[in-house]
Formats: sequence, C-alpha cells, structure tokens
Amino acid sequence: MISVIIPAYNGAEFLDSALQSIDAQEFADREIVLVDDGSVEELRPPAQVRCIRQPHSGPSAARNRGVRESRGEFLAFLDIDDLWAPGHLSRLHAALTANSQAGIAQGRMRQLSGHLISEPYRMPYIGSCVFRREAFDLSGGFDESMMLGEDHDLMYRCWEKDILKVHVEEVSLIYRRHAGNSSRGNNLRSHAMVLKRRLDRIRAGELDPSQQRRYPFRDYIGETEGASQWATR
Amino acid sequence: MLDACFRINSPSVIYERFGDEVVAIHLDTGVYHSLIGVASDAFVLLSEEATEAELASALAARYAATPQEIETALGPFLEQLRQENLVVPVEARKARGPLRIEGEGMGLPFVAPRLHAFNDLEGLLLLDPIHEVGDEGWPHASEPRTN
Repeated sequence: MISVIIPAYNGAEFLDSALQSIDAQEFADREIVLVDDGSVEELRPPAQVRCIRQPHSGPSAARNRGVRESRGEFLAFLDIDDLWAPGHLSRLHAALTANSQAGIAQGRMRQLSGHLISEPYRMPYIGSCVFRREAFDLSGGFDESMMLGEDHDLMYRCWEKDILKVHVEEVSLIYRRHAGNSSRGNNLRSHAMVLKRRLDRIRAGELDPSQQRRYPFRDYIGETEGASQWATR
Repeated sequence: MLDACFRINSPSVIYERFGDEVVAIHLDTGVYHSLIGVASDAFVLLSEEATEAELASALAARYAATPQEIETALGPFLEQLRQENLVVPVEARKARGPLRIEGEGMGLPFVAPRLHAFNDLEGLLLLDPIHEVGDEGWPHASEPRTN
C-alpha cells in the first residue's frame, strides 16, 4: 500500500484538484491522509480521505504526523496546491518493487505559472518522489524546525545516508506557482538554511564531509536544465 | 593596502545570517562557507563596503579588543576572503554613515576571525534553478530556440 500524505495549511481552493489528480492515478492500493495543520479556512475532504487536525506546526511536522498516522509500506507526499501527473504512483511503485535495494523513486517535475509551463526537470521536491517507509525512517524524517527548504534538507540526509534513489524519466509532479506559495522569494534563504543544517551535522560529529558518499551528489540532487525553459501552455 | 576598501562580491556571493553564524555561498564556484562570531559580524559589515580600519573600529564597539588588535587579526581574514573571491575591491566608494553592528552586546571576547570553506558538494548550484526574481520578473517564456 502507498500512503498518500497531504499536509495542508489553508489552500481549500486547491484541494479538489489535488484529490482529482490522486484519483486519476492508476494505483488502487492506497490510503489518503490529509493533515490539516491548523488551517483558518475550512477544508472539507470527502469521506474516503482520513483527515487529522492539529494546531499549526509547519509543513515538516504535518508530514511527519501523516507518516506516523499512516500504514503503507510506501509513502508519497502531495502538497495541497500541487498536482500529480497521471501514472505517477504506479511508475514509481514499479521502480521501487523492481529494485529491492532502492529506498526512493523519483520522477521529473514541471512548474506551472499562470499560462506558462516549464520543461521537465528534477529537483528534491518531495512530491515527485515515493519513499519506502524504512528509507524515510532511516533518513530521520522531516526536520520540524524548518519552515523552508525542508524537502531539500531531507534529500541531503538521504544522500548522506547512502539511500539508493532510482530515477524515472517521466513527469511525476506539477508544481503550481501562485501568489500564496510559501517558497516563493525565499529560495536563497532556504538554500542557505539547508547548508546551515549540514554544517551543524558536521560540527556535531554526525557527518564527515571528507568521506566519499556512495552516490554522486550532483546526480542525486537533480538536473535543472528544463527549469529555466518556459513555454506557453 | 591599508586603505583598500572591500565589499561582498554580490551577486555572485549570497549569504544568510543564522544567529551567530553566517553561511555564504559563492554561486559561481559552488563553495560554501561558514563564518562564526567576529567573522560573521565583519562579513556582514562588508556588505556596506569597508576598509580594514573601518571594520576594526566598528568591531571594537562590540568586542573586548582595541581597534589596533582587531586590525592586526583582520589582515589574514580579509586575505582569505579575497582568495575565495567572497569580497572584491571597491573602486568608487558610496557615501554612507559610520559602520554599526546590528544587535545587542558589548565587551564580547575577541577571537581572531576565521573563514571555513567547504567544497564537498559537487554541483551545489543545481539547487537553485528558480532564480530570484529580477527586474524583468519571473518566470518568462523562453526565446524560441534556433538551431
């Protein structure tokens, strides 16, 4: 089973389309856990979605709560304002079951901004991944002190722990840019914050930066050629 | 050299302050740096352009050392910053008031500033495909490719 975890802090206007993109997945063995992270707006998910409400604690805490409350052997995360491409779950599930050593499967993503759409590329956006639960647990989960860059931080730690990630060429995630995106305009700050966390791990003796990792960093983290290529939809 | 004025090498270098530490990233090389304590204060001051003597004077208001002692320690530090291309000389200075360190604190122990450079993340710049918005806004449709 794949547990689909949706952390939500408001964004009621996006919920229906996010759920429709989950319904359109050709993968029936799934559960959907919506973690309402203290939304001011009322979120009204349909009955088949399990809804957990908690005081506002941030996206990391909401995702970790969803993981704890879910039962699937595999974990997939979809932010309420994003969409999955058809076939995302089945492709990534197939990639993980074909390689028992793999802890993460990741597809490509595109960004949607008004009438523009980017070419496909790959970055550590969690919505483009499916995790084996034991790999997620090994990573330590999302850093609940981070309100920005938490997905990049998680992927860094997966790389540092030599968790095998397999890549699928097809597009998995449609990331919608809009006025309410929490990440917009904070890219550089979140980038620096991820490095700050890594420096903290080095100083704490949890990590030796001179030690060669099993997988090349560049390939593990992403390829961005398509990110700056935009076309009109 | 004593009167040379430097500034942070922006936009190639970006930095963020996290409490006592500044994390600086050179976007052209992918090398990232840690600056703690005195080094973090000195680096942030350089965002306003400064000579060694001006830095020393501003730092002496916070740290328990004379401007002369601080200036002596700043020399090797500034040289490190130059070698890493984190700072560049300023040709034509902008007018500004005296340098001041933001935040509270006086008489703090002075430790010679040091720069810690890390180049262990190959391809670090790949983390930043979504460039900060410039004057022209972002995103914008790419020019049609001509082969």
